[in-house]
Amino acid sequence: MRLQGVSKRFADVVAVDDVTLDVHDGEFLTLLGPSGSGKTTVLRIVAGFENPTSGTVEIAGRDVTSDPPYLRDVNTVFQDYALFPHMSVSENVEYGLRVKGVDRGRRAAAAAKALATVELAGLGSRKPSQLSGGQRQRVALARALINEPRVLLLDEPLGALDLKLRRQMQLELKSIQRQFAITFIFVTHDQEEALTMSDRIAIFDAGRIVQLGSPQEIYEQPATSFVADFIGTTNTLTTQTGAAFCLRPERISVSATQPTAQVRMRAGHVTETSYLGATRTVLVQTDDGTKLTVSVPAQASTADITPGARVWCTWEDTAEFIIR
Amino acid sequence: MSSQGLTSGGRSVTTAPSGVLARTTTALSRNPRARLALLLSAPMFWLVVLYLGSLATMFAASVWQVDSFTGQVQRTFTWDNFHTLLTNSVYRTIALRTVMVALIVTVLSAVIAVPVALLMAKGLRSSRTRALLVIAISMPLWANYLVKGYAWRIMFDERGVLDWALHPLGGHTPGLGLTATTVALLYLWLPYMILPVYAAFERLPNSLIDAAFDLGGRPWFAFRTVILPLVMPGVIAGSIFTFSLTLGDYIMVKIVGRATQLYANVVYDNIGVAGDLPFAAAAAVFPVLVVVGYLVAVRRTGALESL
Repeated sequence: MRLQGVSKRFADVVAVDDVTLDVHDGEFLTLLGPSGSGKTTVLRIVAGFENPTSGTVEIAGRDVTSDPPYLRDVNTVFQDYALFPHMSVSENVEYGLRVKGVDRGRRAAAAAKALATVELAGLGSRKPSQLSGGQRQRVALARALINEPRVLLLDEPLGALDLKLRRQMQLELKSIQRQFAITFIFVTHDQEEALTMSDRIAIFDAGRIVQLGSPQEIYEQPATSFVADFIGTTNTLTTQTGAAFCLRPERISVSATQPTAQVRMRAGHVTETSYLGATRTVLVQTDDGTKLTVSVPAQASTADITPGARVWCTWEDTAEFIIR
Repeated sequence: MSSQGLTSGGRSVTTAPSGVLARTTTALSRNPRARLALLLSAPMFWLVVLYLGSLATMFAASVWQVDSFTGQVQRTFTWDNFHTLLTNSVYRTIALRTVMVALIVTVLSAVIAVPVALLMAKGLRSSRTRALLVIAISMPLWANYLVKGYAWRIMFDERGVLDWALHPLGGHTPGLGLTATTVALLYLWLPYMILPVYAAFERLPNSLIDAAFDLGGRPWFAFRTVILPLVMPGVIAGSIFTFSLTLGDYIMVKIVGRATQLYANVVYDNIGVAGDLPFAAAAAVFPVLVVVGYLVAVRRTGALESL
């Protein structure tokens, strides 16, 4: 799948600005960005709900830019699930096969199998309104998967679920994607979700892709300050010569005893600490006025790291990175 | 709990209530049922006494009779009125014609309303155009009924607008009569169909239409399997209006129907010209039964639940 120079203008707003993107077969690609950054519009252009103002969309080497959605070999899992409320769960799942004229018996068998895949076996006769949010989400997934599309588009499908269920569905989605070997294009504004699930992440800002790469690349070498800020927390420091560099909070060590003199060290005062379960966040105001966010393992001994305490922050040279 | 709420509310309530008014206020605020009963008393009076009461009076009168010599109503039980209505072929013909007209008006208005409402709710990007269309559609409701009636008379008359327009094409106006009546009634009641159907389309999430296309449904298939079933409650709500309004109309047919009679004319003529109130009441039972039957049938489809 390939997008070539795709732009979309609504009246005087440029929603998508010259996006070129190659999606590999069978990969899990996440479009990540704040709301209004154009990621959902890109997804709708791939699905065929929106026509790009300029540029082309190719699926399996064929230009489908002017094809309507019903001729494209892609399926979508919608943010609100978009289950047909007047049909049973089975009828919803069978819809794609009914369109293709598959006979009733084979449809029912395929629907039962698809529902079993998403662990909803036996719920086929219910109406969508009788299901929980998580179950509806699975029905939407089964309804899309039954068509064995070349590309599956997911528009913030986990946004309406609570945190625990969302974590569980993230893992299940990933395993379903591996099992079916389908290309997934996943839209989210949740950076943690993107890091957990993706083979590659495309970061969107103001209608453009500002960085495309593996989760590790994006986290460790953010291309712009926007990416660095959007993915995780970034501390920006200045050297004595005036050059700026960045540090991730978990790459900094904090100690109440002065270490032997090091180049990569700043002294300061603790202003705040907060306990987050697995980690503890320590805010440090350094003597040169920089505010540092430091993340330390919660079980580490922190009895003497309390607000007001004098501390020294140190880090390895490999932890430093520079952004444009 | 309510007494706690009251004491925390203000000093005036915590002091012992004095006077009838204060005591009533306290009693009402403590007793939600009494409050509800009092609030509903006016509409319930309207519904039970004025509406159901007059309906009951009508049913009672339908089995009375008028003395042919004195013209006085005799309050003695008889099925004569119903016997005449059922056996006289004139009344059977009029009843059948009226139901046919009501059905045609209902079906045609649904056929017109669905695409119009679809365009209004889903086809327009500009909310301004949409608002203008809603105004344009409800505008005929502002005009006087008789003005609209005579306008249609001018349209359909022998040397009227329609004749003038069709003449170069070699056509003629169908003239005043049943066709003109049906068209005029369709025009009159169309807004009552379009507006509920439009509301139903507004309630239909766009993602459902997208999903139908996304799963491979071509436009007509998607319309038939997803869009139409989901706006059907709106169509049925509209059909209750168009159907029952057509059953009850007797003025338009007088203006554009020439000698054509609809069922309500039977009722009206027996009140006015013949002065036979019991017979008029018996005649009026028929449309009531038809509409009740229609509502029962609609209820079976489950469409009333989503109104």
